[in-house]
Parts: sequence; structure tokens; C-alpha cells
Amino acid sequence: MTEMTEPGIWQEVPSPFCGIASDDLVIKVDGNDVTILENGDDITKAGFETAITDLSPRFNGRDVSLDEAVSHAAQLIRDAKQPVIGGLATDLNGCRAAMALADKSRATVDNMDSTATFRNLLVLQDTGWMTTTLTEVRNRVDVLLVVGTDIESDFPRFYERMVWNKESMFNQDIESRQVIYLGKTPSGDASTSPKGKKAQVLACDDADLPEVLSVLRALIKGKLIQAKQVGGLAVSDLEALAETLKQAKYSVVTWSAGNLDFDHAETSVQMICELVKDLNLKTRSSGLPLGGRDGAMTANQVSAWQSGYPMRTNFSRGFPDYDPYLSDSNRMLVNGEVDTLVWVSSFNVQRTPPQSLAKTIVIGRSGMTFEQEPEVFIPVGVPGIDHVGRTFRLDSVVSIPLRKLRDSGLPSTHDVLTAIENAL
Amino acid sequence: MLMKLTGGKIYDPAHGIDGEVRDIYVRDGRIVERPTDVKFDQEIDVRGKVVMAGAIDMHTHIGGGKVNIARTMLPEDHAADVVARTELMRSGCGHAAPSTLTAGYRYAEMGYTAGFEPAILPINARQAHMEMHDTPIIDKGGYVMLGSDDFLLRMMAANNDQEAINNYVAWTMNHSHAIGVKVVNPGGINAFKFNQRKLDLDEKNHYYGVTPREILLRLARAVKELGVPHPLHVHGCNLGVPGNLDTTINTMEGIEGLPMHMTHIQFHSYGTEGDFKFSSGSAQIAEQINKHKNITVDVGQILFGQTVTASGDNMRQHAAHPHAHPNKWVCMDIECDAGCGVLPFKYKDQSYVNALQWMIGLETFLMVDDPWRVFLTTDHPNGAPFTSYPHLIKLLMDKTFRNDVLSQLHPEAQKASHLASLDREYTLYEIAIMTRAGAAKLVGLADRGHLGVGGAADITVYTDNPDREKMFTTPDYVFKDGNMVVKDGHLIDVTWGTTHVVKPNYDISIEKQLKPYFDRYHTQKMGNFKISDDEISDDGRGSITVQPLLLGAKYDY
Amino acid sequence: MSALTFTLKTAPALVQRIDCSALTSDALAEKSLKDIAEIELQTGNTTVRADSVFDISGDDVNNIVFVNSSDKLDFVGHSMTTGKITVEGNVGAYTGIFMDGGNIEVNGDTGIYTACEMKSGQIKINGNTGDFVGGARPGRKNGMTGGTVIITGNSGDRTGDHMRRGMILIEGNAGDYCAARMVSGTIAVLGDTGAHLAYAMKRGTVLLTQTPSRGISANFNDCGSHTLAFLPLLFASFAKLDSKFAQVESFSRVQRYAGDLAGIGMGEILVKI
Repeated sequence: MTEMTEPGIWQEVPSPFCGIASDDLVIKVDGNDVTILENGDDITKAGFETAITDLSPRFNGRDVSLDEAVSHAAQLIRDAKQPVIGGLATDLNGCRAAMALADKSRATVDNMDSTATFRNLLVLQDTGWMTTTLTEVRNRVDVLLVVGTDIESDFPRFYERMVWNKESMFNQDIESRQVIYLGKTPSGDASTSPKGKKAQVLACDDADLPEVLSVLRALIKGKLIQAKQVGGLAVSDLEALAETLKQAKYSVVTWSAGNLDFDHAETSVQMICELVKDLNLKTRSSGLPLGGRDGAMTANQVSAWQSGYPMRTNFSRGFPDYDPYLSDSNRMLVNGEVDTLVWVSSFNVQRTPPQSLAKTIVIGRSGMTFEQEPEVFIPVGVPGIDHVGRTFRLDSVVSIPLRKLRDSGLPSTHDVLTAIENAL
Repeated sequence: MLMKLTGGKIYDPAHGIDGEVRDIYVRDGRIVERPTDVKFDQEIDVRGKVVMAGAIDMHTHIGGGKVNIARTMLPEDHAADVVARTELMRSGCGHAAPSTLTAGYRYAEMGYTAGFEPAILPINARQAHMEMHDTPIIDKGGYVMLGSDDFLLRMMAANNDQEAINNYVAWTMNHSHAIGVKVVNPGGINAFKFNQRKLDLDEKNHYYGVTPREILLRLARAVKELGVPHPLHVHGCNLGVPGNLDTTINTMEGIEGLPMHMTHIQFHSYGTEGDFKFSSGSAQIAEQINKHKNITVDVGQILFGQTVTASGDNMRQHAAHPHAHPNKWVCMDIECDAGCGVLPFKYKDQSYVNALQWMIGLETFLMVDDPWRVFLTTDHPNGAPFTSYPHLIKLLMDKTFRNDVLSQLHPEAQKASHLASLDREYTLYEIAIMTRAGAAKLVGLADRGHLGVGGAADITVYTDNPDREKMFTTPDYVFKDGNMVVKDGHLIDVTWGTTHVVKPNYDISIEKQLKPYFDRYHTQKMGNFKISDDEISDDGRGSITVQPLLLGAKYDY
Repeated sequence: MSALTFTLKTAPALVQRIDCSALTSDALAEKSLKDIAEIELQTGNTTVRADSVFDISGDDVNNIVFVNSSDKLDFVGHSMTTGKITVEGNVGAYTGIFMDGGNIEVNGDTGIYTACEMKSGQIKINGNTGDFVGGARPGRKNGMTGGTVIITGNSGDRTGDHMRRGMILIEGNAGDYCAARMVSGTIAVLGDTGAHLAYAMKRGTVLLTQTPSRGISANFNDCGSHTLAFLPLLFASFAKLDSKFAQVESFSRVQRYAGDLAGIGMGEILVKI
């Protein structure tokens, strides 16, 4: 449990910043200064240690009180014909408040990482999948197939925590675990075993990955492939991979939708998920979608249980209406359809709103700077640093309790959005 | 605020009241004695009307990861059933897997004042409570799932004593904020991860060498010794498998007289006779239920139409995947704790199997003698959405209607069932037992499900309509904690219910084992796994109501 | 009788999209011009009167014309079963969605999801289309189940995704993922096809008059050359269409490729020999 064991030192602090939600951080807090003492990585360091700057809300660049800022924001939303509540990188209660505001103001809700997330969601809604969660991987994986993804750049501690852990519940010989990359080449050494066994790499371009996956699935099914090569890979190498997967007791096929950054990548994700199902006819295998940074899982979960639908849902007609294409906030903004954008971004100061013609209200982490000053800026605290909260981990089932580590006086996203809703 | 409900026909089986005309007095959310100060703030004339306590759904999938997977997966389910925002209600949608807001409103409008999520994974309890927190009006709570988790199974494999197991169960219940303990396909969810495709009652899990029978005995004993009122809630082995009636009977006999609740018993009552190798086992099952007074069941009635099956039983859901309709489905292995499976499904009246399933459920209702030990559920949404309960009540209360519907179904199925010959019609009193008094007693809600002094003023008033479906669809009034929330079947106020829990005692020294266990093997710290009370009360809308344990509970630390 | 004409006003320029589903022969039958002017059309999170965005003239409800059209006009021809709709200019998303009869002709380009879940009738696009022609909405298993779509220009990506029955005829080039996830039906292309042709195709026929510039991918096996008797019959059925396909000389010799081998592999790509 996150607790202060000595003055200013917090143990077992969970990170809401990357999807893995490591919760073994040891953090020192001195006034408003936060430093990670143990178990940090690039992502958590940036997350916890970015300093607070602005404490005051602004309207058209001028410092104003919170009440005034709220009032101006409410005005902009009230007048809007196509309001969007976007970004949506925040905690449980921030998302709850955003959904309530969207319902009342007949807005569209979207999350900043939807382009990636929808590569998975569209598959879930079309054919579904068989997936697993992090503790299962940590204790059971014997063959890890990494598709089209360089895990360690976005999830620095994945291998340390989930693959090269010291021991498994079932006394598995950890060193015997096999790691195979299909697609991208690992950027570092995190995938190398403790005794120096390197990952096997079958490299191919994103442009070829769809057909490579299709051939792999066909080989798993025992089909005869005439071609000798696909995407620069020998079909015989893919045959060997198919055999490895069929012999495994609990293979885990993982990918990061954010890394499969090409058009229509959901069809490749679907091919991955369908081949996992095929493997399960005889042995056990599970998919592991990686992602969920900056609250993407939380936004989609809350939206689904409150409205029935994930992100890209609009309340324009007074009821939830889901359209991943027309209600794609990026598309709407580029096409000039949005008059007011409420951009919620409470984890990462780099994640500022896209440039657009829309009047912008930013509910953003203090420390954020803008190329173009928004109409309204309300600096908010970070869930897990400035106020308690809860967020979801990338495997969607586990959520973490976030604590309050310092008293900055910054309001929470929930409080600000609720105040705006009340002012409508 | 003092309110009087005048002249209603009271059905309060907890106090043996069967249609007597009486007045009810409510003050500050509670039912009180007839007061001496006769100045009422509100007096409502309910003469000629039927008055019962608010209904309690003791097994309904309303919150948690698998329910949300179902919602996300089925945009087509929602688009056909949208609910516009009003002054009072948030917008929502959904037929089989509605939004939590819509679910709460609909339950209240149907006269229900409490619902219990029956399959809360300990590692997912946080989410279950989040979703229930966003379910308006009704009280809620849940049963926490054990039996496929590594910690329990390794304790059993090591032959730890019962006290150690009791401690672990109590600890889990407290930190998941549960009111009961659930076991799903005991050890089977776990076995599937080791590639076992079936697990019979006396078959060993390959890794731990432990059988479902042993798991059931240990957990049932724990629940009893801890004084938890709700019996071990069991989703048995071999769900849906033709011939599983033998497994079910063996399970009932194998529990050695300990209290046990077998859920959605309909799915566990199948024989293999006839050309279709699928027959009704309801007569044998009902006989066992009648014989063993320690057994309670809920039926899990199926009704025809499109729905979604959402279950912790990933082993059986995976096996059933060829039957998914539409053809999409999810299976998950979860945290060495449990699993889940979500399959959309359509029950067809012209399918022999589905028609017979419908008949089996009704046969069971009609052949179990004691209405205190059989409960009205569709295992929402697995058998049908909860909004179909009024239709189900009509089938139970109106033999002519029931037989009319029966006569339209697959002809071979009709021949395979003796439903037509069952004349019994449920009375209002019996419905009140099954959906109120009995349910409250079973779950362990001391102050709900009845209309006696001291009880919470959760009250439903109906017009006594011979068309029982109409009657139970549209109550005249629903009161929640004394507030009128529904009038003429429409919501007029939105309140927020409480979360009912029990807090069995445990020896905290178990954390000396659990903390290093989490550290070594899990991906979340024990301390962060635990759910604080603040998380339940949250923004102030939520609250925790601790229900009493049974007297004579073994442990008092 | 003159065509019932909706001329999009030039000013103020459209900002939000407009849902035109109420403007079909079916929906406007028996309505007076006054009634039609008063119809509320969803735009953004509000509704506006039809006559606030369109100048409306004419009286023949069975012959509707959109003039000065825009790519922000969505759902044109929604669920129509009868009549003709002509669009002068580009048009937005979901043109002809759920169509079950009648005729749409667009003299311009269309947005996404043209002929979405169409059941019968004909849509002709004298221009290019967006993605997902003949597709299904997310979560639904079947797209187009009947009818004919003729595209004189190029089609976007994912043409025929989840298509279940019916015909899509492309005179120009098809975009990427043409016939991806196709359930059944026929897609014919006179021009070239893009990347990932027929990816995850289940059943159905893709008929090509030229070999794809990218070749055929490894997830399809070459079944050799065939003489297929149904092809001349297919070409005969094109004869009555207002399309270049009516002029294509019938052939029956094709190279046949079967796939997607990852699935049931009963889709076929037929390339003219």
C-alpha cells in the first residue's frame, strides 16, 4: 500500500503514466518537488518529476480566478454546436465528470490515443479475442511473440517485470523462455535473457506485416503455401515459428497498437487475434494488447459502462451515438467541424491540444506550455501526485489506487469539469 | 418526514403476512410503528393495491470487467435500444448489456431496489464497485470469486488447515468489500490455463492435484465457519454439458450437508436421452433440492431472443464458442486469479435445445416445493436481460399463458418435457418470497426484503392486475429508503443506494504470507490490491452498510 | 412535374455536417413544399430547418436533385426504396446506407461508407469514392447484401469490406485492401488494385481485367488457368448498365487465385488471361 514510511518518503507508489502501472516506486516529496528514488524509468521520471509552474487559470492569456475561468468555459460550451471533449487523459473521476458534461452539453467524447486504441477496439467489436493479463504472463509465458512492436521504448520495465522475473508461481525455468520478434527489431537489450540469450528476430516492414501474419496463420492451420517468400521472410522460417507456437504450452502474442502505425492496421490485429484462437484449438495461447498510456484504458472503460460505447461517441442527438469515423476528433478538428474543444490532459505536459480553428479550453497539467494560447487554460493536478484517483492498467482488468503525495492546491480534473457542468 | 401508505394488501412473507390489509408508516427512511403524532407529511392511498418490499435480484451481472467487455463488444445491441437524456435521467442505451445508468433506472422502474453482482474477481473488484457506484437507485453488493486462484489451490495442495483457508477467505471478502463468496467451475478456470479442457467433480486439476469436490468442501466450510449468511454460491462443473445432471446431483450430495447455493441450476440439469441426446433432468434435480434442505438454487431461466453470455467460466465459454451468435467472442485468463468468457447468444424457440432449456427452467420452478429455496433469475444477461422478469413472473403465475407459449415451441422439445402437465401457479405470496423475503434472507440483508418495523423503507406498490406481466412491469409506486423514486412506472427522482457487505473476522497475520506472495509473483502489490472504504463512498454518493454475521461464527479475533 | 431540387446555399458555408436522411422519396411522399421546408435536419448537436440550408424548389418527390452539394452532406438516400436521387457535386458519408431500391447518381466524389449495408437498387458514382464502399458499420457482420454500385473513377480503401452479396464495379483503380474481409459477392475492377488485395477474404469473387501491378500476395495460391462459364453470363448482365463495363469484351479465360489461406480460403481472384 502506498504509504509514507518516513517523513517525505513514499513506498509502493503506483504509476499512472505508462500502461504497465508499476507500483513499486519509492518517491521522495519535499514541498511540491517530487523525486523518484527507486525503480524509476524514463516514463515515470518524466511523469513524477515534471515541475508545477502555473497555479492560476487564464482567459485569453490573462490570469483569472478559477470561478471566472469556469464561467468562460461554460459559456463557450453552451454556445457550441459541435463541442468535443478530447484528450481525455485523466483518472476515473475525471472521466466520469467528462462523460456527465458531454451528456449535458451534447458533445462528442474522444481520447488522444484513439487512433491506436481503435486498432484493437474494432477487432473486439468484429470477432473478439483471447487475451491474458500481466500476472499470467509473468508466471506462465514460455514463448513470447512480439509483433510489429518495439516493446522497451514505450514500456521500459516490461521485460524486467513480466518476462525475466526471478521466479514463477509454477517453478518454470525462466531462462528457457523464448522471445521472438516478428516485424520490428528490438531497439535495445531488454529482451535478452539474464544468461545472454538474445531474442530471435524475423524482421519485416510494416507494409508487409499484414501478409506475413496471414501466411503465419495459414501455416498454423496446416495449409500449403506456394510462395517461398513473404515480406522478405522465408516461408520456411514462418513454418518453424508456427511449429514453435503449436508446441508451446502458453505462448503470448503481444503487440502495441500504437506501434502498428499504418492505415487499416486493425485488419492485422485481427489476423493476430484469429491466429491465437486457432492455436487454442490444441494448446494454450493468449494475446496481450499493449497500450493504455495516459489514461486511454480508463477513458474507454468509463465511457463503455456509462454510455454503452467506448470513445468516439457523441451525444449530439440527446443519446449516445457511436461512430469511430465521423466522431474521430482528429478528423473533425482537421475538417473544421468543431467550434469548441475541451482538451483534458492531466498526466503529460507534452500532450497539448492539436492546432485547429476551434476555440480551445485546456484542462491541463500544470507545467504545460502552448504554441498557441488557448481561450481558457485551467491548470490541474496530476492524479496520483496532487490528488487521489484510480486508473486502469493496460490489460483492462486491473486498476490501481492513486494517492495524494503533495498539497499543491491544484484542483482535480473532476472538480473543474463538474464545476463547468454546473455552470452550464 | 412521516409518510403513511394507507390500506394496501401487504405481502410480507418474512412476517407471514399474506395479503392482509394494513397501513405502513415510514419515517426517515425506515418503517416505523404506527406513530402517536398523527400529522403525516404525506399520505398515499393504496387501497386495493398490492404492497411488497422492494425486489432483490440476488444474481445479476451488473458490474465488472466482463460486463464491460460485453458492452464494448456489442454496439449493435445498443443502437437498437437508445435512451434519451431527460431532466432527470442521463442518456444511455442497451438491451442485453445496458449502460450502468440505464440499468439502475430500469431496475427501479420495475420495482427492484437491490441487485448483486455474482462474480467479482478479487483483482477486478475495484472495477466492479466502480460500475455499481454508477448504477443509480438500487442497493448493490457482490460475491467474490475464489476457487481457481493460485493462492487457495496451493494452500489446498499443501493441505493447509481449515483455519488458514478461513483466514484467506475472510481477508479476501473484507478487501474486496463482498457480501458472499462465489466459486465458478471450481478449479476449472484454473485448469483451462494448463490446457485441461474439462474438469469433472472428482477429477484432479493437473497442476495442484486438487478436485472440484475438495475445493467446494473447503470453501463451503469456510463460509459457514466465518458466519457469512450467504451460502457458498456455486456455478458448478460442466455447465451446459448434456448429461451434467449427474454432476449436479453428486455436487449436492458431496457438500456433506453444508449450506450451498447452486446458481443458474437450469444450465446444470441436462440428461442425454432421446434422438437429440439432450433431455430434461429437472425432475431429478428438483427431487434433490426438495430432499436436501441445505441447498438453495436460482434457476437462470432462458427466454427467447438475442442476449449475451458473460461468465467467469472461461473453460466452458471457450468450448461453446462455435455457438456464439453473432460470431464474435472473448476469453480471458486473468492474473492467476480467475478468468472470463463473453459470448453473444440467441435463444431460438424453434431450436430443440433452446426450447427444452426454456422448459427445464420452468419445470424446475414448478417442481421445487419450497419457495424459500428457489430464486427467480435469468442470470442476467446470460439467459435473458433482467427486463424480462415480469414476463417470467407471468409464466409462473398463469398456467394458461404458459401452456400457450409452450405450444408454439419446437414440437420435439414439447414431447421431451412434462411442463404441460404441471398445473402449479405461483401465488403473489410465493413471488414475494422468491424476489423479496427469501432473497434478503439468502443474501444476508437483515433490514431489507420485508415490511416490518425497523426495516428500510424500500417498498413497491402494484395495481393488482390479472395480467401479471403488465402488473410487474409498471409499479404504481417505488420507494427507496422512504423516498418516492417511481410513480406509475416512471422514475421521478434519482437517489443512490448503498453497498452491502459483511466483514468476517480474520487473523491479520495472514498478510505475513500474502505480502511476500504478491511481491514474488504478482504484478500489483498486496497493499494496492486492497480496496479502501473511501473508494466505495467515493464522491459521497456511495456508502457501505455492514450486514451482520450469523451468530455462532467460529472466529472472533 | 419538375425535380424536387435542394440547392445548398452558398453562404454561410457549412461548418458542421448535415444528416440528410429525411430527404428521400420514401420520407417525403405526400409532403407539401411547406412541410418539406420545415423538416428539421440534424447538424452538429442541434437541428435546423431544411430551408435554412437549402433553397427548395420543384415538386416531383420521386426525382430528387441536390445541387451545389458538399462533402458534409451525409446519409443521402438513407433506407430509400424508390425514386431517384441525383447529386451534383461531392457528397459526404453513408450515401445510400440501407438502400433497398431506387437509384442514386452522384456527379462528384463520395465520402466513406457509400452503399453501407445496401440491400438492393443502384448507386452510380461519376467520380471517386471514399473508403468502405459496400461495407458494414462497426460491430455488424454483413455489409452490402444486394444491389449494384458503379464507380467511374477510383474507389477508396477497404472496398467491399464485409460485403455479403451484390456487385461493385470499378472503372478506375481500387484502393488498398480491396475486397478485404469480403463475405461474398462480386467486385470487378478495370484499373489497378492497391496493396493488400483481398486480405482476410472469406468468399466471393474479385474479377480483374489486368494483372495487379503489385502481383498477388503469398496468402493466395495460384490455382492455374481456367475457362469459367459464368463469366460471359456476368458480362451479359453488364450490357444494360450505364457503365464502361457494358463495353468490355466478354472473356472466360482467367488465372484463378484462391485465398485468403489464413481463413476458409474460398475467395477467388480472377485475372483475365
